[in-house]
Amino acid sequence: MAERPDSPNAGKPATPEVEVPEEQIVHHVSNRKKRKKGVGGEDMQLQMTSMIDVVFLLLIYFVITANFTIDEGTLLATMPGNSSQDRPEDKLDPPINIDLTSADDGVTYSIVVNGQRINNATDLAGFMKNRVATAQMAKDDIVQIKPQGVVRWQHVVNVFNACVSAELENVGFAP
Amino acid sequence: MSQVTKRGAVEPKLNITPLIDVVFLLIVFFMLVMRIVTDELPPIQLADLDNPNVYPPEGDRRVTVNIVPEAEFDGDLGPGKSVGEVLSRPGQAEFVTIGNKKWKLGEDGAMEDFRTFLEAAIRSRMDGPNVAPNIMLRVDAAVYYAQVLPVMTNLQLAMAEALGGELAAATPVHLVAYQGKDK
Repeated sequence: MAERPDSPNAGKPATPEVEVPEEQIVHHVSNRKKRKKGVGGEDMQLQMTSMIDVVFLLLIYFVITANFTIDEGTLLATMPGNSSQDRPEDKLDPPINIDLTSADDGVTYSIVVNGQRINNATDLAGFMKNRVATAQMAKDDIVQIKPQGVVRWQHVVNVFNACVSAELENVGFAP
Repeated sequence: MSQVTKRGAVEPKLNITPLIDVVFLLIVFFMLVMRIVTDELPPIQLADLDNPNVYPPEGDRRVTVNIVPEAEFDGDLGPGKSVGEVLSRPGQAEFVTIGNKKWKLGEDGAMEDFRTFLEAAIRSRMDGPNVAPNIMLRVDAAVYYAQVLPVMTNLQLAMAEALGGELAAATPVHLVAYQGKDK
């Protein structure tokens, strides 16, 4: 509390001055600021530099190994010439052919299944599902996709995907 | 770091810790760069399917064959583009690539070289004598089928050579396409 200027002790020191030798003065030492001494008497400190090194290293690792191919997935297909597509002796039915032809604009295409025209890949999936459901074909019947050379890959994979969606198990490309 | 001795002379010391830090950093960097180079995927616009039934492949051992078109897709790559926009380019393919190795389609001996390289790549990525790697075929959506067919045929021949008839017949190829928005 501050001393009032009109008090009798105004201008005088609050306590009488006593000479205290310097070595007897005890300074308060904060425990918080006191550094622990290591075995060899060295200061113990947290090494931020190496920690940051490692953290950056991990960061770089995870950034790089993160999925590069987001949005990409795959369809399992047998290639032309794969012997598993050879017709076994007991399968006397000829393979089901899906003919793909491209229109002049190169963008549109048409699908013909054993002579029957289908509008698009979604309809093809429905058509094949229906044929399996009505026992007109079995799921493991050999289905061969026969695209014309000028048909774009987009359409070929789309038709293949439609057959996979119809749960057909033996779909391949004609050699 | 240097130290002042009682005599006042400066004794130099080599601090190994940051040196090791930097060396490890360089090792990791080069390891990752090597991996990126071998798995390098050219930017191509893949097929975007109606009701896609595709899933990400399991397993890390992969051999990826890419077919790159002459005319790259002009715009951001990815699903959701209109078919007309994607296929407005000519469908001529220019290169078939595996990692950073490429072969110009239509060049003499390109397919033979490709097949030999692919055989070695498949052998080197096998996970045990009877475990084939994932063989991926990434083709730009605009490419003509006529240019994909010889690559597929050679792919099958290389698989038969590298894996043997039985394992090759049982090993499908992964056709890469966009998963679409709903997956």
